[in-house]
Amino acid sequence: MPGKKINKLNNFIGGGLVRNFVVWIVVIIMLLGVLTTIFVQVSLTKTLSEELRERGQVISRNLATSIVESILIEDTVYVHRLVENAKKTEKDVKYIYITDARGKVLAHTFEGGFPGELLTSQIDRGNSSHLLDTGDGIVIDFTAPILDGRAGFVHIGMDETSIHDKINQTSRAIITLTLLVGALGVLMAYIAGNYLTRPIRSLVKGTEEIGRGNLGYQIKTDSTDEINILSKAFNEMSYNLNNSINELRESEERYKKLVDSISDAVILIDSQKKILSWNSGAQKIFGYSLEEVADGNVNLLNHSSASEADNLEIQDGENVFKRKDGSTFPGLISNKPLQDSMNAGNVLVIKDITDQKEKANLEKLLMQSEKLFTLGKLAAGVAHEINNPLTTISLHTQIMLKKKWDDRTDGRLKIINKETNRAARIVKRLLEFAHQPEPKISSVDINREIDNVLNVLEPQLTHTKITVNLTPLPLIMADSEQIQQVLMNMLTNSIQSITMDGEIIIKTATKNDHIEISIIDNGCGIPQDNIGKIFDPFFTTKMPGEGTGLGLSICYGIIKKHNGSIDVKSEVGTGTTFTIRLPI
Amino acid sequence: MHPEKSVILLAILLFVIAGGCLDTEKATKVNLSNRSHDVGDNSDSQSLRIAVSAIISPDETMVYYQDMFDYLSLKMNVPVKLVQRKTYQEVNDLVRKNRVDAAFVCSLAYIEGKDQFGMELLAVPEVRGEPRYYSYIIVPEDSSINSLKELKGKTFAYTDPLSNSGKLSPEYMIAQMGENPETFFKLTFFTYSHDKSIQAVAEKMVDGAAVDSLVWDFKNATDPRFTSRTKIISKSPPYGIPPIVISKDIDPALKEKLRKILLQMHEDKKGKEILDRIMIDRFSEANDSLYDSVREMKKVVSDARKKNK
Ligand SMILES: Nc1ncnc2c1ncn2[C@@H]1O[C@H](COP(=O)(O)OP(=O)(O)OP(=O)(O)O)[C@@H](O)[C@H]1O
Ligand SMILES: [Mg+2]
Repeated sequence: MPGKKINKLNNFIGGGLVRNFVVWIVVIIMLLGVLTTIFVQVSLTKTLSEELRERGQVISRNLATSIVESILIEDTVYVHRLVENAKKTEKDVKYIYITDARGKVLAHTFEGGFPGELLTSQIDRGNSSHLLDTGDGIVIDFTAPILDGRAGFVHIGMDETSIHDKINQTSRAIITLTLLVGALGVLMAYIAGNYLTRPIRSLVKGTEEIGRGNLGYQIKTDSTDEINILSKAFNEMSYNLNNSINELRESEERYKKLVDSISDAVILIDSQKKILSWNSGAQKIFGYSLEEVADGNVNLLNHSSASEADNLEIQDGENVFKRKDGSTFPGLISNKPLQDSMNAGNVLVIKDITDQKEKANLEKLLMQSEKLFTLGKLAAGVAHEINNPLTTISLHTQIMLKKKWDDRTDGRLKIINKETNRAARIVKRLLEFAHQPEPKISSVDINREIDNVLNVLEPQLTHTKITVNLTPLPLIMADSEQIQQVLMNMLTNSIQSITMDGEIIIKTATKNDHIEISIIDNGCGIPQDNIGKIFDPFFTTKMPGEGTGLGLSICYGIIKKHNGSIDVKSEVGTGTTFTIRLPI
Repeated sequence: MHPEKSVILLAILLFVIAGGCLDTEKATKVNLSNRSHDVGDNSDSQSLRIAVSAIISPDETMVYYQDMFDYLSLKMNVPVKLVQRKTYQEVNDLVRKNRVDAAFVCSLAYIEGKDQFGMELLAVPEVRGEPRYYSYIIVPEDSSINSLKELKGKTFAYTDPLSNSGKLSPEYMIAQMGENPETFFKLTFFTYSHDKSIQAVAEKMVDGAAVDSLVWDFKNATDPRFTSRTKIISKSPPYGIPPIVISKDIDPALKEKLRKILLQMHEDKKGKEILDRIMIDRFSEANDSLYDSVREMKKVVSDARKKNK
C-alpha cells in the first residue's frame, strides 16, 4: 500500500507538477493576452476615435468657413461642389449635408434623396458631435455652425467603421500572437517542468527507499540550486536516521538482554492490566511465551479466582501464582507504576520464592533434630540414673505386697506400686525417645500392622467407632515394630481427642512412589497456633501425668528415619487428619 | 482562497473596468436608407424677400442687417428673407425679374435700375441728419501717398462695377484731373464689397481703394481692426445715399405697409435701438433728385471714356 502511494506521488511529480506548471503558464499568457487585447482595444479606440473626432471637427469647421459666402449669395451649385469635393478628398466621411438656419437642407451628398430621419435625429443636440447608429456602422455626426448658425449648419458624418477595422485587425494580431506564445509557452513549460522536477523525482525515489526501510539511502545530485540543498539535507537526514535507528536498536537490544538476564519475571502491563512485555525470566517462571500472554490480562497469573482480583490493585508482597501447567508457587511481587502520576502502566517484578520457603523448612527441621539430639542425651542420662532406684523401689514394693498388711498399709503400698509403675513408664518413654534405635528394616505389609495395632487397642475402643478402609498395599521396607509404635501413638491421640461418641477412619492408599496412611478423627481438633508445635518434644495440652508430650515427637523421628513425611490438617471442633507417607 | 478563483475574479474585474471605459456614448439609431426628403426647391413663396447688395461682404451683411430683418418680419407678420448676390448687377436683375420684393441697392445701381426698368425708391436712410454719404480714397496707414494723384500707376481696388462710391466716384475724380480712368492705375480689380476693399488696403494687397463712407465709418466704430490700418486721403462731395428700392410691379398695399414701417422705425423703441446699432438715424421719404449728382458723374465718366477711345 505505501509503495502504491509513493508511486502515485511519483506520477504526480512527474506528471501533475509539470501539468500544473504548464496550465499556469498558459493561464498567465492567456491572461496577459486578454489584458493586452483589452488595453490595446481601449487605448486604440480612444486614440482613433479622438483623432476621427478632431478630423471631423476640423473638416466641418473648414467647410463652414469656406462655404459661408456661397450660401449667403445662394450659389447652390458652388455649395454642392464644395460639399462633394470635401467628401471626396477627406477619408472616412460618410456624408455631408448643409442646412440653413431653419434646418432646411440646402445641399447633401446622399445619392437619390436625403434621409429625412437624419434631420429629426438632430433635434435637441447641444453637442457639436454625437454618435449615430445607421445600422451599417456607427457614424459620428458633427455639426458646425455657419456664421454662428445664422447662415445655417454644416453636418458631417464620420464613419467609425475604419477604426473598428483597424482595432479588429490589431486585436486579431495580438490574439494570434498570444496563441502562438501560449503554444510555445506550453512546450517550454513542459520542457522546463520536466527538467525542474527531475531532482524532485530522485528525492521521491529516496523517500520511497527510506519508506521501504532502506535507511541511509543517498541521493546523487549534481545541481547547485535549492534542490541540491534539499538533496543534501535529505542525505544527511537519511544518514542520521540510519545511525539513530541503529543506536536505538543496540540500546533496545541491551535493555532486552538486561531485562532477560534478570531471573525474576519482569512484566510490563498497561493501565488495563494487559500484558505488554514479558521477559525470559517470566517465561521460565510461568511457562508462557510472550506470544501466549501478549494482550492477555495479568490476572491469569494469579492463583486466586480471577473475577475476585479483577478490579483489585496488585499489592506488593507475598502471593501465590499459577503456572501455565496449573501448578502454583509462592512469589514475591513488586508493583511499580511506570511514570509517576500518569496512568501509563506498571512494571511487575515477580520472584519465585519456592526455594527460599523450602530452605526455611529445612532449617526448621535441622533445628528440631538438634533439639531432639540434646534432649535425647539429657533424657537418656536422667532415665538411666532414675531407672536403677525405681527398679529397687518397685522390687521392694513387690516383695512387701506379698506379705499380709493391715488394709491401710496395704493401700499405701499399692499406691506406691502404682506410681512407681507410672514413673517407670515415663522413664521407659524417655528412654524410647532418647534411644531411638536405627530401624530394623524388613519388608512390611502396613495393612497387617494396622490390624495388629487395632487388636491391641480394642479394649479402649468402647465408645469409639473404628472404620477401616484399607486398600492392598505393596510391601515396603520398614521397621514393623517402630511402625506399630507410630500407629499406636497416633490412634491413642485420636481416641483421647474424642470425648463423646466419635469415629476414627483409617485409610491406606498407594500413590506414585509412596503409600499413604490416613488417620481421620472427628475429635476436638488442634488450634491453628498449636499446629507448628505438636511435633515438639514435651508439648502437650493434657493434664500433667496424663501426657508426656513425647508421642508425636517419637513418631516424627521414626517416620523421618524411614524417609517419609507426616501431614496434619485439623480444624477445631471438626476433627483432625494425620497423613503418613512412606516411600515404597 | 484558490488561485483559480482569484484569477477569474481578476479577469471579471478587468472586463468590467474595460467595459466601463469603452461604454462612453450611446448611439442614436438612424435609418439612412429611407431617402424621401425633398431638397430641390429653395423658393419661398411665403416669405417677404428683400435683397441686399454686397456693399459689405455677404457674411458681414448678414450680421449687419439681421436685427433689422427680424424687426421687419415682426412688423410685417411674415418671415422676411435676406437675399444676397455677389454683384450689384445680379441684385438689380432680381428686382427687375420681380424675384425680390424690395432691395437695398447702391446709388449708382438705383440709377441704372431706374433707367433700365423703372426701379422705384421706397425710402432712404438718414445718417448724421441727411440722406447722404461720401466716397473715401484710402491707402495703407503708413503709406507715403497723400492724394489720389499720387496713386497714379499704382494698384487700386474698386468695389463693384455698379458702385458709386467704390467705382464711379474715383473714376470721376480721375476724369476731373484730366486723366483716363482706364489707364490711370497700373492695375485695378473688383472686391465686390467695401469691407473687402478696406481689408485689401490694410493688408497692402493694393496701394489704394475707394470705399463707402458709411461702411468705413461703421467699421471704424464697431471693428477697427482693418480701418485702423488705413488712412483717408480724399473725401468726395456728398452723394445721395444708397436707397431701399422696390420693383414697380409690387402690390401697392405691401409697398405702403413696408414704407410705413420703415419711416416709423425710429419712433419705435426697439426700432430705434436697431437703427442706433447700425448707425442710421432714421428712414425718410426718398426723392429721385437726390441722385442727380451721381447721374452727372456717370455722364462725365462715360464721356471721358468715349473720348479716350
Ligand atoms: N488426634 C488428636 N486429636 C487432638 N489432639 C491431638 C491429637 N494427637 C495429638 N494431639 C495433641 O498433641 C499433643 C501431643 O501429643 P503427643 O502424643 O506427643 O503427647 P501426649 O499424647 O500428650 O502424651 P503421651 O503421648 O506421652 O501420652 C497432645 O497433648 C494433643 O494436644
Ligand atoms: Mg499421645
